[in-house]
Amino acid sequence: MALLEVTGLTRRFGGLVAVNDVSLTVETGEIHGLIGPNGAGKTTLFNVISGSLPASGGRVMFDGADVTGLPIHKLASRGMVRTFQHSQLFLNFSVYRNVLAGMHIHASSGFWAGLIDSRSTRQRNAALAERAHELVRFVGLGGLEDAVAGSLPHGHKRILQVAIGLGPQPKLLLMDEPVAGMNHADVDRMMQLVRTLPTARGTTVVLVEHNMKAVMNTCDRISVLQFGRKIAAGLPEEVAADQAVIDAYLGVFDDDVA
Amino acid sequence: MTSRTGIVLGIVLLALLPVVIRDEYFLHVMVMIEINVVMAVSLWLLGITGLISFGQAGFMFIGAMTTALLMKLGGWSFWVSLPLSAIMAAVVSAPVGRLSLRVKGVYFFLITLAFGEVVRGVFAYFEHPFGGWYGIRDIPPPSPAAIFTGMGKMPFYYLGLMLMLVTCAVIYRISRSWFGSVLWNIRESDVLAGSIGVDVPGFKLVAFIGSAFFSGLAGSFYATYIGYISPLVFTFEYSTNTLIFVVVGGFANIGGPIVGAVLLTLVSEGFRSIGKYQSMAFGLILVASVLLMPTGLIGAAQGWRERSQRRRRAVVPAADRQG
Repeated sequence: MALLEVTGLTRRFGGLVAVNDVSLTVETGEIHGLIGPNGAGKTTLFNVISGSLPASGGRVMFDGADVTGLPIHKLASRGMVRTFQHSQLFLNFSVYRNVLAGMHIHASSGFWAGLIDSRSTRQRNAALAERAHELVRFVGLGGLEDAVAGSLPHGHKRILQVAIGLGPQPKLLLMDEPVAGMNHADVDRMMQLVRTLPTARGTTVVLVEHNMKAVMNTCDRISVLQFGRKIAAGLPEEVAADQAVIDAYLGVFDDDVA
Repeated sequence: MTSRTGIVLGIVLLALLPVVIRDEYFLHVMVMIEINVVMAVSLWLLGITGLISFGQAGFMFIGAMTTALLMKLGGWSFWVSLPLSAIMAAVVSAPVGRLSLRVKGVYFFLITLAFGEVVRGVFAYFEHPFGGWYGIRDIPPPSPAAIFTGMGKMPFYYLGLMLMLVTCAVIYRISRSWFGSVLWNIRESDVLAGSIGVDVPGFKLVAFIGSAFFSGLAGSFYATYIGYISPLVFTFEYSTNTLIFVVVGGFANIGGPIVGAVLLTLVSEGFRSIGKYQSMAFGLILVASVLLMPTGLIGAAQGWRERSQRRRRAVVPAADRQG
């Protein structure tokens, strides 16, 4: 059974149909790329799937349940977590505290238990602290635990965002342009990290990206959006050879005009 | 450890204060400081999430009114009325928070402001049982009467001290718990907090209710201490003053609202002799402190300490090089 099954999803902004009747399946364990020219509706599709925006129509099935219209925090506790196009971090806090914050849903020992500081709370917190350190090392930020998030270079900030997103141990991680604005070395680091997620963390990945090389080298399957519609889907080689995709990116030459 | 010793020492000093200084006016100012600290700290609890309320006096008024009615009309003991008043303020705050937290930023401020005025309006409009604009007078002091009527302001000072210390301790605990750390996260980025599974509206609501609870506590104590409450006491001006305590003191930790409330209450009392210029002086202090210390007294003190530490660290290698 597919982990994520999107059927006929539509999102309108007034008269503009940003996402138009899009259907999409993501299997457990795959890395699924979502590409398309600027304004194709990729981020809007992300926002609707992840509960940041309500849908105008259609259905989102996740892990066997209908999750259409659930608020973002409920989806996160069901195992679907998203990251953001622009670095969203707790900028004034340390790297360690950022990662620890990501484990919120595993820490909810209740309001009163947290105040009273019982032994079980302390044990739980110690376990969380250990997991947070492990996660910091896993994403390759080991040694930077005490650095203030806001002071990190751009590439590290994006990596840290992934670490925060992995905190809830998601079954599905939706990544919105994880390598936007990065240099080659940082892109390679990020893509290596992404490739390890399904096996090392049991996390399926859907990523929106403009960096074609990164997408082609990393993704198992790719879906292409244009003007809010899905125009192609398949293996990277298939999509790259698809005439509709080539036309969408390069435009269609009209012989008569020339 | 040193800070713990400092706190214990401070509490001992505060406990001995009325023994040393036996001046009724001085004690009155101290009781007002205690009330203002409770208010400032309760507002700070909401401030941790990045929210600011302009209607905190409204919850204080609800607490005060509950105590006044229970004690005067119902003949209830203060010791029962006190928790009930705080609970009443919390109960009212739940739907208010539910509604006002649906909007963000300035609109939230405006709704809290309106709420404070609505509370005054309702209590002013209904002479029965709220006393209208005349308010309610002769609210009895707590029992036993032998202590609270025969010994001047000293017993109130100690009662207020207890309430203040308990409030500060509880809110400090909250701010350091996991719950509190989630509130700080929301202040930093509510979008990110939501994406990792934090029920942001829920956490904000609990902070809002908690904040109202302690404001109700302050109101209840105020009612039995002064013995008279009216819509002219729990004004927008008082809500704003509470906010000013926190802003001048700083948001960074619980020391901020405490220092702010203590200093500004003293300053405002000190300027009482200059009469009509009192509020002008108050305003100047606010403007100067926001311009000179945007992170408040606490933030400025922290920055100063860090700078001097860095200077000291910078000096050591230079000395090494010479040797």
